[in-house]
Amino acid sequence: MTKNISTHPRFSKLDQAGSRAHLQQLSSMVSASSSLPKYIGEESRSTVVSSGLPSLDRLLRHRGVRLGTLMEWLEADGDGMASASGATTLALAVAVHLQAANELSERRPVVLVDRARSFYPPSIMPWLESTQPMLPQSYSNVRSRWSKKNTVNSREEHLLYIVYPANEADEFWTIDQLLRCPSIAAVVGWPARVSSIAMRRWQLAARSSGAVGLFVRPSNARREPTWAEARIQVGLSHSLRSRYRHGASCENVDPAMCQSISGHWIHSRAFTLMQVGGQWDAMVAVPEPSVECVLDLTSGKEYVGFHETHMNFS
Amino acid sequence: MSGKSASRIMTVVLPRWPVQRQLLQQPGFREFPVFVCRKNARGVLSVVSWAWVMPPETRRGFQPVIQSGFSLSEALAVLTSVYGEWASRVARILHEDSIGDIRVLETLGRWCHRFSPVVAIGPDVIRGKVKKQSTRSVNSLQIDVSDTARFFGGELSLVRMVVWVLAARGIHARAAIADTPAASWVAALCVDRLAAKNQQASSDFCKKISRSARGSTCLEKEKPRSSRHGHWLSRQQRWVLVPSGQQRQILGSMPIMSLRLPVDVVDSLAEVGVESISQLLRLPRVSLQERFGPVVSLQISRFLGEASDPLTPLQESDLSGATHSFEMPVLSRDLDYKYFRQLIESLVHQCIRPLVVTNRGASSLQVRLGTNGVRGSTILEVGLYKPTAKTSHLVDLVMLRFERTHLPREITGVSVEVLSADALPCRQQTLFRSPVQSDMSQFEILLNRLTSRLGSGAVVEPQLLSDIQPEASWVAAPVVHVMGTSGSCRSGHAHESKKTQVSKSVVGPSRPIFLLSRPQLLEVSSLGVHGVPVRFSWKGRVHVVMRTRGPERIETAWWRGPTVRRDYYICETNLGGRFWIFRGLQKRAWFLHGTYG
Repeated sequence: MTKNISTHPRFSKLDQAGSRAHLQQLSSMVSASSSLPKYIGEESRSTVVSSGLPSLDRLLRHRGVRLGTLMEWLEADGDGMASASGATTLALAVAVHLQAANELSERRPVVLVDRARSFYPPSIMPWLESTQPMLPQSYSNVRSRWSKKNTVNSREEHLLYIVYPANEADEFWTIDQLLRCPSIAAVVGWPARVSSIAMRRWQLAARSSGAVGLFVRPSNARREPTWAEARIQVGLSHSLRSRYRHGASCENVDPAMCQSISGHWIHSRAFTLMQVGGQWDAMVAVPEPSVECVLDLTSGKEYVGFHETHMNFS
Repeated sequence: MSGKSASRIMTVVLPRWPVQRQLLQQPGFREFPVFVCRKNARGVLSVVSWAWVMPPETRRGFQPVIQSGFSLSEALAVLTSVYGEWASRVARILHEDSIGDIRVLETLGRWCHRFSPVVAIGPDVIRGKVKKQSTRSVNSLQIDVSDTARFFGGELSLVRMVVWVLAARGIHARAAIADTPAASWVAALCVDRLAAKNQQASSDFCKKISRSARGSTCLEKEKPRSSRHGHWLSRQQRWVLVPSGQQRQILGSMPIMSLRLPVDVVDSLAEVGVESISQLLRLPRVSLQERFGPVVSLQISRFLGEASDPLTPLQESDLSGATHSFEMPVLSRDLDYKYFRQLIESLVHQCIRPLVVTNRGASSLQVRLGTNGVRGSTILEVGLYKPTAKTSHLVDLVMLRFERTHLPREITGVSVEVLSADALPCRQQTLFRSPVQSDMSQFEILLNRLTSRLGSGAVVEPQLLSDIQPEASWVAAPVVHVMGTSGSCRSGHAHESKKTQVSKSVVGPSRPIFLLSRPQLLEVSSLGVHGVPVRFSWKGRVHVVMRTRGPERIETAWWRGPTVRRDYYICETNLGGRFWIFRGLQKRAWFLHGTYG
């Protein structure tokens, strides 16, 4: 009777170690090819940072933005220009905050992929100046700033770049290239139609670099499957909606009554953020929660306590 | 035949060089009237140079006379009177970038080393008649062709070759060869006058002097084969040869201004009726020196060759190039991509190797695919965010551009040339590379890749400008430039030198996230003629305005060109959208200009 070599204690120990390595490898492969981020070890290693909007943090599964993931922002109705509902404003606020609150030692630029060539930078320039790194200045910060100023041919590193692709193919290629670069904090884009293959490429690219992709999509993209970790629909806040509905339905109302006298309202904007899907949706059946958020448009930060924030699980 | 031959100098004048240089970098502007302007101490823009390469066909017969030194508003008024109001609306206003002009001129001068080893930047040209308003700039090259003309088949062949080769590169030039730099400068500057004079002279006169001892002709002229460069380039005369020792006879009737005399001297001489060079030459030198100092006598001596006027040659460029010629022309459809990449890699390596020795790297590169066709070579230019000496990275960038280039049918050879080089950045490396440390060099590589594929104007960094008009309140500055033109910025609408950037433009929540490139006409119901908007329709949907903020009046000064007078309102609608709309105070119409995405 021959004895199986694998049952020998010495070999079985080796076999166990090899099996564990194989299992880890398989697990990572499955995780990479699956839409479900189920490998606990990988998830625990990933870095979660605040989005800069406390209300949004409460809405997100990880209580913040996980680096190396994608986020979709859906307009309330129509596309970005036609709706003007504020999805782009929120996406930019998160991007600017990611740039400063990044735990990866130094400020990294935000890149906008603007195929329509309609983005107007003066609107968010004050956000870039007001946002300071939240972490204490580390040695690497000092070193990098010193080296930037003292290297030959040193040129000022900017915090915001804009790329103008000419067509859809260039737009997809540009986003893919940007998301693969670990020196970028966030990529903001307005892709109208994205195939699941392209978005999968972007997801893998972001995961390899740690950059965050923030994409503002039209409302009809809600039906499409997504590789984004979170999909947020942006709409008018509940309180304003009821007030406006009443004002618009009154035929005899004097329009002059609706006009704001002070004009201070332009410095802030109230939104309802609703989690309407995302990659987690297939694994965990979470009802769609929503939060209210008031954004200070002067600084790009949220007014905390200005409005009563509530979770709506109905 | 022995003995030292007299010197022969060729001057190549590039008319309206500031505009030509801008059009070379932005060919799309050829369809519009382009004004290069300078802001004076009072903030008034004055025209340095202007051109309209492709004016409307129906009005080609009229040529507006807009001189250097005109205020922009005056120039636009003249333009409007000839071409109509729309011409002023589509006009492109660019700011002067004299440093960029000189750098490109130096690059062109180094390219001219193929004609002679001695190439110099030409003298300053003085613009404007009033002394206080006169400006100086450089727009010419001077080449010593004393001993090199014979290699090109004589002076006539050489001067014709220079003009037409530059024309093939999109550069309009006029050239002249004479004994002295001053005389050749006068001849090149006054080509039109010489042509007119030549037409009036009898044909016998031309025949008499058409053959000189040097085998060249006097006032050789040739009509251009086409006028594709537009009305301001369609002159009949583009080059002049002044036979040796005859500058006094041939150029005597030219104005004394062309001798580069000070403006006040010219004015003083004009008051006593001295307006041409021949009149000036008849005056006694001693009295001229007593009255105006040594400057007039010196210029006359230089013109006649009595005083030395040495050229200051451009420093020989140490930027290297490498060329590979195929034994037989290769069909582009049969070109092996892998082989071509290896070929480019070896050529780039040859170019980079001498730079590495001096701790420098290439910051822009040019790859030329030679052809036998009439269309000339196909040129691929690659610019870099920061100089690099990595051959593989440069080859990647070239191949990115190569993939998106329409190749000629046959390729006879490939040449690689480093257009500009800079010192390599020196960055200390860490002992232990942290996996989470951000590496900016990767970002630089990314910028280079994006620019190579999308073009230099497609990757920009926004910079604010102090302009009240929303469209002109920021500029998109390309992060990567080709041929060392880093001094210029560009955007879809506004152009400004970096030196003039200030951060005092209106920013923040009062400005929209998206701005339409052209305001869209809206149907708006408002409270009275001057009232606030109540509802409007856009993209088939009626928006009821719930809150407004405004009006914010934006009105531009008259000297900026077409006046902008608008009352802006921020409107929040019942659907939650915020819009930036304005009422034009001239036409009393409502427009949508932006949205708060």
